[in-house]
Amino acid sequence: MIYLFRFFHLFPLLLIASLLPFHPIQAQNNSTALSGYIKDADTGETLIAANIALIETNRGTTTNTLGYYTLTNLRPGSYTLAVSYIGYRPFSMEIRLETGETRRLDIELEPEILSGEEIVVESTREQEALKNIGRAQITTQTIKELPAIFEADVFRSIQFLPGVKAASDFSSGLYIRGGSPDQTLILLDRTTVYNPSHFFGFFSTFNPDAIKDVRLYKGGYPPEYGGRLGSVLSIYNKDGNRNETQATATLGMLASRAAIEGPIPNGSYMFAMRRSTLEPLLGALRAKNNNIPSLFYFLDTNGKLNVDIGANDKFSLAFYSGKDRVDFPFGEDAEFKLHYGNQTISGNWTHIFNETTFSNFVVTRSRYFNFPTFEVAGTPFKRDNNIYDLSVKADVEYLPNEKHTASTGIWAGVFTFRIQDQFDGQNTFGQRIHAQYASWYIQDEWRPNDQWKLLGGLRINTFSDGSFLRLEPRLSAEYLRWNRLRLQAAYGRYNQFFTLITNEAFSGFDLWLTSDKGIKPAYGDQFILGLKTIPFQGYGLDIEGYYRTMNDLFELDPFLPDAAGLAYADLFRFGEGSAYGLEVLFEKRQGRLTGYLGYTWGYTWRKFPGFNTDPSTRLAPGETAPGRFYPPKYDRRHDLNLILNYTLSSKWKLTGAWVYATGQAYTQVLGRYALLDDPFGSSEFNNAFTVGKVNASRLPSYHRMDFSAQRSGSLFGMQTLLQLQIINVYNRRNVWFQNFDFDENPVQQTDVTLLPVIPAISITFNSPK
Amino acid sequence: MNRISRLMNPKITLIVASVLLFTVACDPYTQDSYTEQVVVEAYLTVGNLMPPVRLSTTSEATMFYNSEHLALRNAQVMIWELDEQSEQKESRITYEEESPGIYQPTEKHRVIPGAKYLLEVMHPDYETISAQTQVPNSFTILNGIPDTLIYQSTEQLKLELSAEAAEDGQNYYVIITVAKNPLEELLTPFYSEFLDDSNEEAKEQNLQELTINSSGILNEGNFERNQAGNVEIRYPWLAVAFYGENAIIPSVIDRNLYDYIRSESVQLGGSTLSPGEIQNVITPIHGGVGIFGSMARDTANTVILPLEISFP
Repeated sequence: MIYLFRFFHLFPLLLIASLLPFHPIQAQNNSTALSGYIKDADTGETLIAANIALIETNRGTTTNTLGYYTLTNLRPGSYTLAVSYIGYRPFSMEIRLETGETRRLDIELEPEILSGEEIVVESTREQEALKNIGRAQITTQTIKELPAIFEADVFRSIQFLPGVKAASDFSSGLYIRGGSPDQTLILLDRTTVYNPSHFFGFFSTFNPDAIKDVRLYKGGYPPEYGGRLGSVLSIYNKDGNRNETQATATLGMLASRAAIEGPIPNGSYMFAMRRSTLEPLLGALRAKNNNIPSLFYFLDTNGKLNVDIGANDKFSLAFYSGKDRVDFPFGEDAEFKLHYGNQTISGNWTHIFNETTFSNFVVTRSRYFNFPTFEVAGTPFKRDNNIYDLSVKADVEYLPNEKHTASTGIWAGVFTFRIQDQFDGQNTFGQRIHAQYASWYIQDEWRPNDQWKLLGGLRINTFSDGSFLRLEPRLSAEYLRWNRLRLQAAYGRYNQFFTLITNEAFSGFDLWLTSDKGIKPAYGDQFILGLKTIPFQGYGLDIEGYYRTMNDLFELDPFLPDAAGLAYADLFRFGEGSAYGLEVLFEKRQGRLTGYLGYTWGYTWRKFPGFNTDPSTRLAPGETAPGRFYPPKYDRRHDLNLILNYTLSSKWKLTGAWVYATGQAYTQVLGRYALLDDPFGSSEFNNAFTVGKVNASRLPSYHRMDFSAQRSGSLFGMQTLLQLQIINVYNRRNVWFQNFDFDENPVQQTDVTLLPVIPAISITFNSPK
Repeated sequence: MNRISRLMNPKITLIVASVLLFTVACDPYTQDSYTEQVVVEAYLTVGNLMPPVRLSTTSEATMFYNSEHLALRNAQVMIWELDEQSEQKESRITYEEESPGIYQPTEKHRVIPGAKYLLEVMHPDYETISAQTQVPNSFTILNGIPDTLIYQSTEQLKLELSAEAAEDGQNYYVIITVAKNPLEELLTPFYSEFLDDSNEEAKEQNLQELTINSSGILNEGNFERNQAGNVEIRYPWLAVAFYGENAIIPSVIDRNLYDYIRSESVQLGGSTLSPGEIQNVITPIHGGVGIFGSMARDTANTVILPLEISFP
């Protein structure tokens, strides 16, 4: 604890000291620099990852996550400055930089407006910048256009990317590169979100109207992030329109949403709400059926307030609140209630020290709560589960010259977890975890010449419970050949101090637990090789292969019947795993028809003692049999995604998606037996199966086609967007799992299927401009 | 562009495709095939006579299950009492086949609390089967049990058990409620509402299943030890499926029963395992499956009356 306290005090020093090595290569006195924000001309929103280039010098860069760019060590002279961003008109201007000048140049890009005669979807250079190793991005426009089950959904859109898998149609959980959902760090405006789901996992919590940017690091993520073994999904809320007030409302079958944004003095605001609208359907069902929930809804609220204090300081305050409520009385003497959700708030200060030094400071607070209650036959069960995560982050980016982009930062916080179970009025299980965590990173992106880009860095993590200190070296290299071919390699070490207790079919009771004394944090190494190229103008081809290890995995023991009275370490099983695969993404970026074909070939393995054991293993009394490696259920050998967008006219746009995947892994039942003298039950037979290797069999292949048509128009002076969708167009009855009924003899085996064909309609109204 | 095209040379493509195909075709993780196994079933209860041992074999999962046809006959069965270190066999109880698959001890021997027993089964068609159990210490219900209780009244049944603390960790309990008159009209409201009365057969089967209502495994951590060191259990109303006379039987189970019950209860789902991720039940039987377990138990009897009317 003492060392951690010291470590907290050392952070400011580390922050400053880590940038000192770059000072000897300060900019030359006669050189010039150019920096500023790139914004949307209509709304004033800053644009993340926009591309900026000085044509004559072959120098370029991209904006950071706050929309800021810097070009340093420029020779004085005249240049053509070109700026591009997907969905916006390319911008160029002539500029002249005088000796020693450091110019601040904020640029506004005009959104691309498509007319009937001019239907062109431009290919833009910033897409190349988004091809960093392990990186993927999905635009909010794509999220809204992709066919989605009832409601546009961020996670379900991400599930269409190669390397990302869905456990089932009922789950929006992200299974990335062989990792379980808890191996992906999910950030909303830099704040950790612990249970990003609604309707027990069916939808993700992020309202597409409130989102500006979604970026996914599938693997090999840089030192600025940490805390998860696999991936990072970073989502940014919109800042709000700085030029005019705008409102939008969408009416859907499952949920409706509304948002308003507009200017305030020196800033902007954004406020968005989304609520499920199942009440009429539930009311109609209740009239004819018993056992329909008396209350069942989810609600999201997002907001953001931005204020600029001068040209070099920006403040923002963002919040999110989401909750699910269900009240389900079943029968006369039983009721189930569940109330769970997330709340996040973050205060952000961006400060530009000078043209070479950019900083960002954030205070975040995240809360996850989960309150299930049952009352059955006069016997109550109640759980109070809360997570509070209060943290501070500071990042400094320093560009001493055109060859280096150095950055360093800290992230420190206090994580509090509380759970209290009560059964029949008595406390049965309680746990309180109050841990301090802290991390510091330093990284430098070095471009020795036009061909090479090298990124090296180190992240140091500490976690107070168990007094863990972990080092994470990260390296990546990129070699550009023939201006079209990028060869990439990356290595990274990652640690994870948290584990998620969940069920693939139901995320409403999710719990997070942490490492502790005797429970080492999980760690893993990732190795990635990539090849990105533009084989033909307007097309893109990305290939990435990965291999990753997972060590000291800790998970809730799935056979644990009751946690009461157990030592904390006894809740877990400890294991290991690995994953490897190859991802191919072939994109068509230009023309009326755009889209991509994604293919993933992958393996993922896990091993836990006493699980998937060899029945022939002889054991001494009390000894646990060693486990054998097995593929978890979300292991897919082949996964193919085809997404096509066709712009029919200025009013009509069509989107189709087809997904094919190897059938899910399952465990085949081989034999059966019965205990006939069971002293704890009165069934004639207490049945059980003998099974083969865990998940060594495959269900039939999964495939599904979805279709979406969008028509834009106007109604009562408002812009409208009508969206018609059909999910599972040819009604493929994909199998989720097999169910067994021992009441029948022979035992009856039935397939539990996933979603049938589902049509959906929604309409969006936008206030006139 | 030409250089890019060179990268897409058909020969290179063919080599890459062949490597991929080879890798894909050689999936080393293949499913097992069915193997017949011996099923053992025996439950030792402290203070009771040594129980019968039931032997049978497994059948293929999709075949019609006939317990009589699957009985394992002509096996040689014996139980050894072991010393504390489980190294020496101290005394032997031999068994004889009384009826197909059911083996009875040839001499009367009461199960000793805290003792260790080793079961051995030999049969010419199978490898030697063995299993070992350590019997829990005995306990009794100390407090007086009311003759009658009003269902869902504030006066809940409390049991005070003389159970000693377990040497390693804690005791594991299973509490069952055995209804003496499992009649449909005596069902408590919750169970009455969910009675499967789609047909007479289903109803009868459902009533039979509810006759013994089990708590599942409960850790001792759920309960408090009073100043006298005894365990106090508050008996939940949820456990009462029938009004009328009920026997309430708390049991302390051994590690074998703990492992078997906890794994069997989630074999087809209900835990953090994904649907379809079925696991073998954890069995203490070497060379076979099933259970060789032990327990200590005591019984309390009471009559549960509905709140509205007095029970005859």
